[in-house]
Amino acid sequence: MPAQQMAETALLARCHWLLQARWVVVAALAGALAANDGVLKLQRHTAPIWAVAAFIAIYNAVFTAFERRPKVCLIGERRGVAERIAAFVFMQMALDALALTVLLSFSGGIENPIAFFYIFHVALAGILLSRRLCYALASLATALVVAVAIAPLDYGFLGGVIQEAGLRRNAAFAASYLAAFACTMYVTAYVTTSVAADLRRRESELLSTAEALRETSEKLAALEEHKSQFMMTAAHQLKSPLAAIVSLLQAAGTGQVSPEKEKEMLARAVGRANGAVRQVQELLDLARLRALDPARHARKVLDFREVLESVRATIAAQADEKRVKIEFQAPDRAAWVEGNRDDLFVAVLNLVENAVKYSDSGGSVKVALRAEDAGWGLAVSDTGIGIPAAALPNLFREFFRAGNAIRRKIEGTGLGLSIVEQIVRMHGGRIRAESEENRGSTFTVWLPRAP
Amino acid sequence: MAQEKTILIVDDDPDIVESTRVVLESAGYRVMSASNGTEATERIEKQIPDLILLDIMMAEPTEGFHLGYKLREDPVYAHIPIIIVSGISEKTGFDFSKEKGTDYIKADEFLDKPVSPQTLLSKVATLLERKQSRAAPNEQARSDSAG
Repeated sequence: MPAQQMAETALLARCHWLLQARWVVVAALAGALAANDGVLKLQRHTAPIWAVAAFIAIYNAVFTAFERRPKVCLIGERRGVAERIAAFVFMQMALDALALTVLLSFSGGIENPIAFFYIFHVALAGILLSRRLCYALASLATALVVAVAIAPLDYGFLGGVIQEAGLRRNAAFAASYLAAFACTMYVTAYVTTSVAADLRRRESELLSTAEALRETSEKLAALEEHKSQFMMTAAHQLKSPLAAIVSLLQAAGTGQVSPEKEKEMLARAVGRANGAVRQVQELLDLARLRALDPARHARKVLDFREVLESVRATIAAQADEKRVKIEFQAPDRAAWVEGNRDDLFVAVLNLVENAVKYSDSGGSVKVALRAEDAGWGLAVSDTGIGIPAAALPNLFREFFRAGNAIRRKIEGTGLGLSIVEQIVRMHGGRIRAESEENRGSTFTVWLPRAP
Repeated sequence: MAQEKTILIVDDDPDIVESTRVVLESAGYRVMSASNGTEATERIEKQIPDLILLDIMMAEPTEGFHLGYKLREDPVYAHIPIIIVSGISEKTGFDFSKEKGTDYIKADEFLDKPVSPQTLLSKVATLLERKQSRAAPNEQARSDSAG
């Protein structure tokens, strides 16, 4: 997951920053000690503090060495990478707290202003690590300070001021001081982890939004690709009849053909032009289907028999011309469906037109509507050329045409059935094709009954 | 005009075949036609045409290219000039290479449908002349006067 990886990378970057910052601390500490020893002479016994600086330098060197392989050096094979990096950072912070405590106990106790580094560390843990680790660090710091406060150590080399107001000389003062310290630690932990959790939640929201955006843009790109493919195929298909028309007209216009031939060629050109018009009509049907305008797909409850009646009136002339007999069967009572009349008309007309188109002269087409489990079944059967079994699965794909239809040079775009399928699907229905080559085909549409 | 040259039109669109036939016949060529690769092969085996006008997308999308490729591979037919006449011009970037990655057929000319009668006749004449001069360089003069 990229979001997970981003979080790990960010944590590693901060871990690196922490290691670098610690070198600065070591250098500053060494510088201050050198200045004290050489010039300022504020404190006489600096050996333990030098030791603390050396200690910090040593563990920082070890962590730096392991920094590049934090996955290897850490506990818990089963844990996630981010958790192991967090544990790596926590170990550093725990040692920092320990070093700080030792340093404080040799340089003025808890009243030394560098005690603020406890707060700094707890806040940092709250931001970088988990809530659990942040509270663990706050508890560790509190425990260390309490231990120093009650430990029977003699701070003989410390300055007078701190010893005068020293913690162990006044139990009430010491108790209230430790309570205040613990409060500071836990309040810091609470505030930073709360803020950090909020920030993380927003970050993950942003990331998931970004992910969703990326997916959407990929989908859009695929759609765009499909669209341009579609346009290219459609344009090629339209170019064929147009090229034929131009060729026919140019040939007829050479003045070298007999009047009869010329007449024949003009008639052919008209035929091709009509074919092109039909193709454009199909493209328009498809464009209308895809239009997002809901008004274009407005539905109402209607009698499916009326749609069949419109189709019967439209197809009659075409069928007569081809001498194909069409028989319509419908129930006596209304067949209520909820749908768009224009869309349903286009779907049924396409099926019936196909049946006529792929029938030989003298063939017969049967259109039968009957009640069928909670809906209406419409079967359009013909005695035409049929569909090869291999072509059946691809029948509803855009621009697909069965090999036998192409071989017989039956005009078509391969869009009709795709349009029908889309309309049926939009109406919550199903479509099925059964066929035997050279025997005929049956298309069965099922539409749900209007509620 | 070159006379009694035979031209084979291979196209599955009968209207294109018919209109091309009219144009070529009016210029004095003999015309044969075929609507697919198999038919074209049969025609060629019976009589070797002087030139072939070849469509690309027939029943199979690349049928024309397969035929052209087959002819170019065959030493008997390799010399026949081929003009690819297709709705898909060479510029569409379609890769028609055979599986083995050979170049797509080296047609002598690509024409984009629809082709005007003038363009068709001039390309046909040019290719027939070139073929003749290549076959018989010494007869260059005669072919010039004939054209």
